[in-house]
Amino acid sequence: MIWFILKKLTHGLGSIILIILVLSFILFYAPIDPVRMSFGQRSDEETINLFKQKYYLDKSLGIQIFHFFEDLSPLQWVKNNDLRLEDYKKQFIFKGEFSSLIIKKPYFRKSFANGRPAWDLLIEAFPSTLVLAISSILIAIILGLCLGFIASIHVNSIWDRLILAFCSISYSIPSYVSSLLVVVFFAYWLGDYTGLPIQGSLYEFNDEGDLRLELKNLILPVVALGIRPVSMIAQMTRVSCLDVLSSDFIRTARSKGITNIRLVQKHLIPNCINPILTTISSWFASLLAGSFFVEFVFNYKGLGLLTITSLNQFDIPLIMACCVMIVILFVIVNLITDFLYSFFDPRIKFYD
Amino acid sequence: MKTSIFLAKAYLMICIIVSFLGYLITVDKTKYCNTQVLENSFLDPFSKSCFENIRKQPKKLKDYIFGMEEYEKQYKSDSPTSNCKIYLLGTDRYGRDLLSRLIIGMRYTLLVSLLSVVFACLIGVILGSLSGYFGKLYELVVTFFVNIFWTLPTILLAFVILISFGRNISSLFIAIGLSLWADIARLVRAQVLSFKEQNFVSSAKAMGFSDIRIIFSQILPNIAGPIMVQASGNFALAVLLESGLSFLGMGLQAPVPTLGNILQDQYTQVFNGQILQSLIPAIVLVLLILSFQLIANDYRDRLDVKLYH
Amino acid sequence: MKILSIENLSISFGQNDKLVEAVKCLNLDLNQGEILGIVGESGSGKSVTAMSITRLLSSSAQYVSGRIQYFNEDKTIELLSIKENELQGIRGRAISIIFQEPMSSLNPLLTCGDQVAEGLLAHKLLPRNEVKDKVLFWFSKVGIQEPNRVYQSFPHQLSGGQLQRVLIALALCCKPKIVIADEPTTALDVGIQKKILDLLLELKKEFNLSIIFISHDLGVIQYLCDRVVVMRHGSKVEESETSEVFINPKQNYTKGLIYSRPSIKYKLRRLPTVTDFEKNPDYKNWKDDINLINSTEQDRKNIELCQAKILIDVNNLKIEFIQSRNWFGKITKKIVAIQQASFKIHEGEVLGLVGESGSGKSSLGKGILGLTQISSGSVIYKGIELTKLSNKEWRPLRKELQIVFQDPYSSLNPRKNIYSAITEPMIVHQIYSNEKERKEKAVDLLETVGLKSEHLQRYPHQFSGGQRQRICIARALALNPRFIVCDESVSALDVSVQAQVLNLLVELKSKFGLSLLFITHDLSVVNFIADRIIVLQNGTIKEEGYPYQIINNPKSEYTKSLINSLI
Repeated sequence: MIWFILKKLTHGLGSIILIILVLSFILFYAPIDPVRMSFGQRSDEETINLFKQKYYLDKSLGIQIFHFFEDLSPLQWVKNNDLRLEDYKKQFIFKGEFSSLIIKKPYFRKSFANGRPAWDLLIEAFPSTLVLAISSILIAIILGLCLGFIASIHVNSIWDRLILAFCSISYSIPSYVSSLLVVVFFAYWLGDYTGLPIQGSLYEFNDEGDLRLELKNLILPVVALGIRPVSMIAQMTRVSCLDVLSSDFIRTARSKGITNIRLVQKHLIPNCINPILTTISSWFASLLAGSFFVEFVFNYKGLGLLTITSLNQFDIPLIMACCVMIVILFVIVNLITDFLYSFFDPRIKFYD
Repeated sequence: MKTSIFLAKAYLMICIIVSFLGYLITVDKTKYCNTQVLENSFLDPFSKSCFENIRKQPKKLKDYIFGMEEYEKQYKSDSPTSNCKIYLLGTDRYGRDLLSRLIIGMRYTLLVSLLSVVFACLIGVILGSLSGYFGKLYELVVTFFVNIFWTLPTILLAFVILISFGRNISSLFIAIGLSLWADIARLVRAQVLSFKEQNFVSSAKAMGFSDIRIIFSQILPNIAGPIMVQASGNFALAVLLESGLSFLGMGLQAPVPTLGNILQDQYTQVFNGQILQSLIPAIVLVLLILSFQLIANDYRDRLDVKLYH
Repeated sequence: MKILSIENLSISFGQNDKLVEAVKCLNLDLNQGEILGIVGESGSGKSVTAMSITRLLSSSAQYVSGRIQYFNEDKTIELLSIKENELQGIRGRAISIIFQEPMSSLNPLLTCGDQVAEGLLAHKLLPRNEVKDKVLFWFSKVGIQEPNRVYQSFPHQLSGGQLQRVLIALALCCKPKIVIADEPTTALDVGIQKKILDLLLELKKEFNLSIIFISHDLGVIQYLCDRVVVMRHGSKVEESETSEVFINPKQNYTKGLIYSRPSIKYKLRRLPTVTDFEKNPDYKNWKDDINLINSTEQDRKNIELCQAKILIDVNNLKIEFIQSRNWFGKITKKIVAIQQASFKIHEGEVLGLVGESGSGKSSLGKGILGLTQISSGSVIYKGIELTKLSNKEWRPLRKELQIVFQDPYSSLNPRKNIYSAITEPMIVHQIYSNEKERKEKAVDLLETVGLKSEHLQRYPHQFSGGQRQRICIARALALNPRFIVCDESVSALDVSVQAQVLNLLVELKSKFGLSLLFITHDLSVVNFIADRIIVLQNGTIKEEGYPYQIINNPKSEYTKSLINSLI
């Protein structure tokens, strides 16, 4: 058990590091000068040069990436005159004459665009995305399981065909189109009755300048975001139910003379959970990673919108921070899924 | 043949033919259909507008294929005898003909999707069959990359590539292709692995066929079906990604029209009461994705391939 | 006394335009306390009939006509027309089924104990707290060694034999009146097969069961059943007492089925086939002196073969499979498939290799042809050491050493027609210079294996299993080989087809002067075809000798048990 967790964790950590390496390679290699692009015309040559020196952006690609990783590492051997030292939240373990060993919080640098630490910006945006992702995946799971189950029980009936048609159509509606449709319908045409806003975030400033929770702003994004997962989960449920229903052990179970309820409860459902789980987890991961389009259309201030804004501003530290965050979320969701697999299926062993 | 599949194929054929003909059938024959008449912005569908000067007509073959390079300012006139045209779907904010832009936009969207699917298939089939057939080091390297691409939200990689290497066609199709290849490689690898165990491959080995011959002449013809299913499903995803990226402003840059660009231009029109014009690009796009999806499902049902799991 | 009666039953599958009749107007009676055998080749509708009794067929099946009656003391129950919830009271309680594939017939997510207990609970035969003891009782009744362990095991943790016993316990635990056994031993090895059959006989006596036993294997039927029904293409061909059928079969088809099985008691030159009996109903001389090979002739032939040149010489061959490696690539777990095998194959000889599943017999065949990695030892063919050759050096030798596999369905590339299947190896080895010669040769080969030239342009799926196996043989012959490995080449075929293919192999062997390594699990097949036999168990050679020596006078314990378990 311990070994299983350790193995999965090292695997996850390894892939996080590798992905960051690939992304940082592409980003630092880019034939543009992000610093100049972000600072614009405002700053003079000297400030820019100082800034570049601080983060080693004037050095070669390898050194840039090395120093970036150095910022992320919790343990660091650092020169005492290093300019970055003032930004770290650190504790000295060993203090030497020229250099010292420090333990620190991984440092994601400061946003070029507004000068705040990238990590703080992430932490502010994340709860909104988390709430959005959880609520839409919950709705998708409930609806999707019901639809898929109904379809598989009445296979080839009119209900089955209707559900399949609904699934094909809703799967083909990209989230930017679905959010558009939802906005037009509920917020524009029926806006007087529903009272739902066209745009808005989970937390909004009110007139007094305080942050307020606006649950009303959550409804339309959830609907827009949930449509495709519903269709995927429903289709997957239908396919795996039909698959299990045609298997030999269902016939054996029926030959024992057990009731249909027990057949469904003990033999059908447990056996089709795992493939459905795969679909759910991959959708949940991508919802968590930022529902870029929906947040963009609704101007919903979450991880997705933050990523897009940072991309459009060439805000490299913020882009990197967003990427790292998203990759970590993906890895965590995958880990949890792996545990759930072995929980549901005795054939998948913990240690192996 | 089921009606829905027939309709999907018909719609797809129309889209392909129309985007092939391109400037031959558009009203606006300038490159990217970019004739801007600001006085005519936000016209309703079927509205008619007349101009003082007669427009240049394309002369060379190149003009018919890529559109005319020359732009020319057009002036509105009230006299009904002068050169008139009808905007079937109305105009956008710059007074450009929406229908013409949709046709050329369809061409760019389909082109980018086609390139990215071909790119993804190439990488996926080559790497997948190498890793499946030879195993060992190939397998290690390929599964390593496949895992990376699976742990990474694909669109993120596309974003990073696009902002680093510029928002042009080549980086666009590479970015989209890279987010699709892992699925194909995984499928090909699994299929090759299962066919490798089949006796006809062992027989071919026993007859002294070379490995390359076995892969290309014995195994690949057998998995062409599943690859086609996956590729047509990926086509839908590629269209979706391309328009999505354009919608966020990360795709091809103005004035190049793509379905996503047009959608982004038009969607705010809904609040000005022009429902039809804002929804048309969306409908065209959704139908395109839907047809690819239906065709892929149809292929899959006929081949009885399990692509889930 | 009748306990079950099937009248005029017809069952079809599929939709209107593609309707397949699986069972046609079948009449069948089962008496109290008897074992009724239903025998037939694949596609004869025997399993469909069995499943229809408690309506367990998939939803695509349509009961076109007929009725199935179950006589319970004074009541008569119409099984095809009663409601589903009434039927649930009968399934398992009155009529239960032992299924064919033990691995896939149990729910992988529930313990075996729970699955058996479920049946007892469903029929409310016992209070809940006594159920476990009852299940354990049944587990020991069906001969499971550690009932407590099996109770808590998941299906993937048990062997096929144990699972089959669990399935029997599951079928019997509610003390049903009728048990339907659908090929319960087909997936098992010969040794276990006999034990399971004996168990069934014992349980039948103890609980006065009525059994419908379905099998394709006439030997099993003869051993077990009181009465036999022979089915073909969905209808009944013959029905009578077992002793009557085997001594004096009436129908030509039945005769063919019975006599076309090779036997360990005698050795024939040529096996009689169903077509022989259909063409000539009085065909009786299949067992006369001309067709029978007596022991003096066998001895003479053996001496001749011993003097022939040695074609293949296998020395201390060892084959291992790596199962897992640790992080540094060091091997942590490996399976030894073949330990130290040494034997010789003479020119023109057929060497039979007999072993149960997992004995490593297929690995040995593939190892000789270099299709599997060899750990140590040598294989010498015409003075060339085969194990050290590179792929490139192998290529010219591939012409002379060929293989024919077990499963004819996967042996042919489904996307290539027969013409290219046969000519592609010729192109690769540049045997014939032009298209025309290759085509002539291909037609020639097809006719040699008993197919027609118009079959050339067809694709594999248009052929039956037996025809495909003929094509595989033709393809192997295309390169004019000296030596062919037949890896269970006839095991997947029905009895009547198996006889035809075996006859063909014998014919071709003498025509082309081939040497064969014939791998099989079936002693009677090997007795028919082989000149010499090797018995393999767990990767070691237990015994080597001439067929009549091994069968009449086995030396090793293992061979003895193999022969004893033959039915």
